[in-house]
Amino acid sequence: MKSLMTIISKNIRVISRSKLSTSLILLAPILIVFLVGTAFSSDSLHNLKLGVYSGSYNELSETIISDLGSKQFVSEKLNSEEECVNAVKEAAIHACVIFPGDLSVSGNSESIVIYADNSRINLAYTIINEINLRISVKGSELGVVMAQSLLDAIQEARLALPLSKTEVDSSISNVDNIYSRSKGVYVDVSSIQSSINSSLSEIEDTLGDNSSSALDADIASVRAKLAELGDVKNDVGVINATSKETSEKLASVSESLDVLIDRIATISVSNAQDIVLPIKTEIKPVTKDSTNWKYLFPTLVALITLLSSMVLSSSMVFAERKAKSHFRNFMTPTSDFSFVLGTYVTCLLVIGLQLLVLFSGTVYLTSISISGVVGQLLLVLFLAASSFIFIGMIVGYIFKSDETTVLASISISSLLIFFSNVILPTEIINSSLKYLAIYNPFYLTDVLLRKVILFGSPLASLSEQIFILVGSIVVLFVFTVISRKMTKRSL
Amino acid sequence: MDDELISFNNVNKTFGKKVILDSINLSIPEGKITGIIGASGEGKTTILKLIVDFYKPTSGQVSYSKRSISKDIGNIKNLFGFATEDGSFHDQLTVYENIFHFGRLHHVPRKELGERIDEILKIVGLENAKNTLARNLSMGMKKRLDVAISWIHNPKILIMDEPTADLDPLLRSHMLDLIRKINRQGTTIILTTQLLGEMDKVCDKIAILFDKSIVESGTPSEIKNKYDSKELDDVFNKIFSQERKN
Repeated sequence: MKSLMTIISKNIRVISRSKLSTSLILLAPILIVFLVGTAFSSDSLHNLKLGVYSGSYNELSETIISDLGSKQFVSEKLNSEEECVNAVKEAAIHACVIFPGDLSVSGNSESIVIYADNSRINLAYTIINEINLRISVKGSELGVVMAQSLLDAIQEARLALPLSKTEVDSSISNVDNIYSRSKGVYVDVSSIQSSINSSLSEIEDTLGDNSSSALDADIASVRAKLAELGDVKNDVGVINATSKETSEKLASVSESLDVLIDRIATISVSNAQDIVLPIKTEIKPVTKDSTNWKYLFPTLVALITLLSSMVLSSSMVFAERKAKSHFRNFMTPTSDFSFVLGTYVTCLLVIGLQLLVLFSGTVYLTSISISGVVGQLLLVLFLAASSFIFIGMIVGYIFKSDETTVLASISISSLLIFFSNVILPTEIINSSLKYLAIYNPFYLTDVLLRKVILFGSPLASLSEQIFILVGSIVVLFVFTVISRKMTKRSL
Repeated sequence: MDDELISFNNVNKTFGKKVILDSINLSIPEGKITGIIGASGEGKTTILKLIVDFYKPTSGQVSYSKRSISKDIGNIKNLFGFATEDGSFHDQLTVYENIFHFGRLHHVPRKELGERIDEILKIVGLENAKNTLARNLSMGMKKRLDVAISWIHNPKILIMDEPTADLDPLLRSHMLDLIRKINRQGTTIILTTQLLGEMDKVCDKIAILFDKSIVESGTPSEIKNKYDSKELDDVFNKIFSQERKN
């Protein structure tokens, strides 16, 4: 313990003797907070350049372009699709939107095409979403107008159909009346025909051979009139059949009208907006403050902790190994454990001071508050810094030159950053390598800091990640002591 | 016969395929000043670092009081002090802070340390430079600071690697006086040098390292008599010529 205090006080004295190191430790965090805080204080994207092209602009495409331009996009019409795509490749514009020549509300043969630079993954989807959103809003506006005219037509039908149904029913009744009357006329005419025929036959029988030619001519004339009456009877028959058929058809129309009236009666939607967007979605942030700075802050803290710890511990160990005093340290009866612990505690104190300055600056200069989560925050930062310091120390012990030590520190830091959510989401990592992220101290730190700073999570909900971090610290500490033992005899 | 404190028994040391020391047999007496003579690059520093177990012998054994140093180093480390050729201390600390720091690491009680540092600084002639940063010291002062640090815990054995190298004649003379002073306090001293005249003046025993092996060892007068020479320089030249003929 005495040796440990001696080593720590020597280390701090050596660091404090370098004015540059001291200034860097104290001023760098303030500078970072000021610059990053100012740069990312808004909640939206700015000055996004949009290229647009259409073989034939029309009112609709112009409206969409104008709408896009009035938001955070600055749109520019380009001369061809190829020029537009090349402009994206050359980073002259952020995205290119190609409108089909026949763009219309009644449907177009081609889609609106959006070209974006997918290599800028974090930006590409944001831009695509923004453009899609703007076009969807315009599409919805048009959809609402069309849906409204449909609803109006339905409403008219709702009012007109019952009247039509009444008229149809009345017509059915009339036709049925015609049917029954024509049927009566038909029967009467048949009866009259039969009666006259019978009377004429009786007259002819009575007269026998006494009939005169004049009388025969009269009887023949009556019989001719009877034949004409047969034609009338046939016509009445046709009227009868037609009225029956018409009545049946009108009954069918009446039934269809009933169905139609019932169907229209069941349509409860009266708002065009409900037809265009039947399911409404609303995105609400889970945090009160929604500036980019607040979202960025936990990751920034994790990054500063990682880089400061890695670079400081690796360079400190390497400098100790390459210093003239290295052999003298070997000559003292001080254990490897004490030397490792001495360097670790020194780094922890320096990183602690840096983070204290960082958080003080943040609380003072920005709206971020950590008052309710100080305990969790201290624990997470202690564990995070510890794991990064031990990784840095191992690098410092293993590598034999200044250059390789720095290179290894940067490479390992980069690897840790890549296997976290900072650059790409861990969800896209190949499943076989996903465990690298799960056990990555930087990933765990990022997750824990987001939970604590953004959501004020209690300690209990952090236990899983904390358990893994503590485990990794134990393993890293053992490796650090082994590295020290293996390399303490080499100069 | 003097009491043997440290002994080398058939010690070989190689770095990779390069043989540095070959069958070294050497006995270092207690309370005396033993000098190891050899040309530059002969392996003198390697011998010293084998004594403190910084290097492990490839074969053979280095013993302290008949016990293997490698096995016992944890217990006997504090018996050794080692003044290196280039100085081994923290440049960013002052003379006082350096001695204090390493004194504490050698478990010298804090109460005694202040007094002990003042005493040593007076002996090594750095009392006026105690608050000077080590990196601002002259070469001679750095050598003396290294001796002071090596001696702060009053080691039983003080090893000095080229203590007079790069010093002007006056400083060399002061350093030799310092070596004698330390030895008079009962400290066994093992030193290396290329300046043979100095060995004659201060050493009780000399070992001549040539072509990876100890080719002669004994008191300066024994060796000079053996080679019928008045100066150790002559002895060295004769050995060098003889070995070349062989």
